Amino acid sequence: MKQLLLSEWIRLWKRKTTWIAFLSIPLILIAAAKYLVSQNNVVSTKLPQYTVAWNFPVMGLAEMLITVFQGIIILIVVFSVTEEIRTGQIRMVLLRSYSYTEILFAKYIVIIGVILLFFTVYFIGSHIVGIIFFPMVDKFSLFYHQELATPIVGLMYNVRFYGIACLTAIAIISVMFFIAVVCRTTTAAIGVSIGFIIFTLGYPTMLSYFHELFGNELFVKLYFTSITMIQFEGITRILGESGNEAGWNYSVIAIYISLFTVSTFIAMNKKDYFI
Amino acid sequence: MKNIWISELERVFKRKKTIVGIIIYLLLVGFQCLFLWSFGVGFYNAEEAVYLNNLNAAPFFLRELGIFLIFILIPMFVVDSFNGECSSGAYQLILTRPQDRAKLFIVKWAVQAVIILALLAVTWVVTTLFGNLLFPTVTETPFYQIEGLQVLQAYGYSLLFYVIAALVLLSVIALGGVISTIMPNTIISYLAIIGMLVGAIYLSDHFIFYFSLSDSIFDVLGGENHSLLILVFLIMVISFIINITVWKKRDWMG
Repeated sequence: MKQLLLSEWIRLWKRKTTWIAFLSIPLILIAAAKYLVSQNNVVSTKLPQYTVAWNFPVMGLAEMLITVFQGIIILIVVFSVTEEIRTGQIRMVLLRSYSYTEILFAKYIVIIGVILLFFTVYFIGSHIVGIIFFPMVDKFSLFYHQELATPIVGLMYNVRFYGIACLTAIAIISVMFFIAVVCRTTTAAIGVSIGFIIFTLGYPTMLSYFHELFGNELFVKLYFTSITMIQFEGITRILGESGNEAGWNYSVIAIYISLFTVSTFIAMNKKDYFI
Repeated sequence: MKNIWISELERVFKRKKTIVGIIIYLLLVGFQCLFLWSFGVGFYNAEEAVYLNNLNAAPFFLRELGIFLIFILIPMFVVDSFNGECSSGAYQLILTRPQDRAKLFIVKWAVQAVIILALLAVTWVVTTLFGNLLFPTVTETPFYQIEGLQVLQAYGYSLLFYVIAALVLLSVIALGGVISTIMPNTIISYLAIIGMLVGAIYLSDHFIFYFSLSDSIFDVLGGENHSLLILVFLIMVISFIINITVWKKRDWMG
């Protein structure tokens, strides 16, 4: 199994797209920083939306998590799953004494590894960019927190934020992996993946029209059944002082991961082994 | 010429996802009908809403359908047609025939356009009929920034609305076509198209119309947006010229 993981890891890094994704991190960070600098002119310094060097890692991730990160996950998953299965490259590995399940499991682990690495590089890079572009203040405010935070508290907050963001990314990888295994062509796989993201962004918005019908508690629960909404708003709420919705959000993430990994397992066992 | 059309259409409809995509789109139209019927309210933009009646219903259907068309259906069709066939090598069989490459390209482009225009036309007819069947009947209706349109004028307005929507969708086809022709494989082409449509907003706010198709068209017809038509026209013409040049000069054996 170790050999299989190693071979998948090397194969992933053989692709130019993986390198381009990692090399684009500085560009993404600078684009986010430029945008937030312009936002700072219209936001009061007392609000948590005001970006300083210590909260830039969170502010710079929030928007990118549902666009760039999702795009990179789709790119890597579709390249290493759908493309390899449908062009028959995977047969080269199937010739060895590994089962189809083992190979796809190795791919799943390796993709999670690459994305975690991506988060780590982004985390370090965002601190550097934050210090270059934004004021280094003594105290600043956090979302859903009454008291002001010091840089050390801010760093701890950032670590926890990135930890939860990684969990949501694993959930997204599980979904995309299932889609990539089931779809017969790469374009269909990407189309369905993007459809999934748009759908999970869209239905909570539609639900908000029925806000009064459901009552507040049920509405918030339904709203955060959407994994992209958890990425967009849920993480700051989990890390808020009250932390009421933490349990619900964690269970939604856990359900996404288990549901889609099991579905992938069932789907690939029903498939033809001799592709 | 007729045979090129037949060949191109056959290849497009041989792909299962063309049929599946169209069926999903039609289901979404039905779903949107249910949605608007249960509310009876349509949105000009995030803030302003209006009660629907038999004359003004049709344009509001594109608010959600536009996203599906621009970000899912058109990129999928265009990438398969302009990149999938070439990168898999299947297109070499077509090129062995003694046909002008420019002609092959124009027909390819036209077939994509015809499919999308047909879908839009069906949507307009269905939604107009639907509006007449289920929404309250009135003899005159206001539109965004416009007061009291008579029956025929109102139909003219919604038809014009769909024509502008068609132009925007054609520009997506043109842009998608040129990106798919340049990019090496289907995966990268697809994500590059999405990246381009999303990234354009960071370039300038004028490109927001790919995201909020119906809101922007209401602005155009209400006289508040003057850049959309020019931009769409420019994108279409420039993409088409680049695309046809690359297509003719391209090394197909690679």
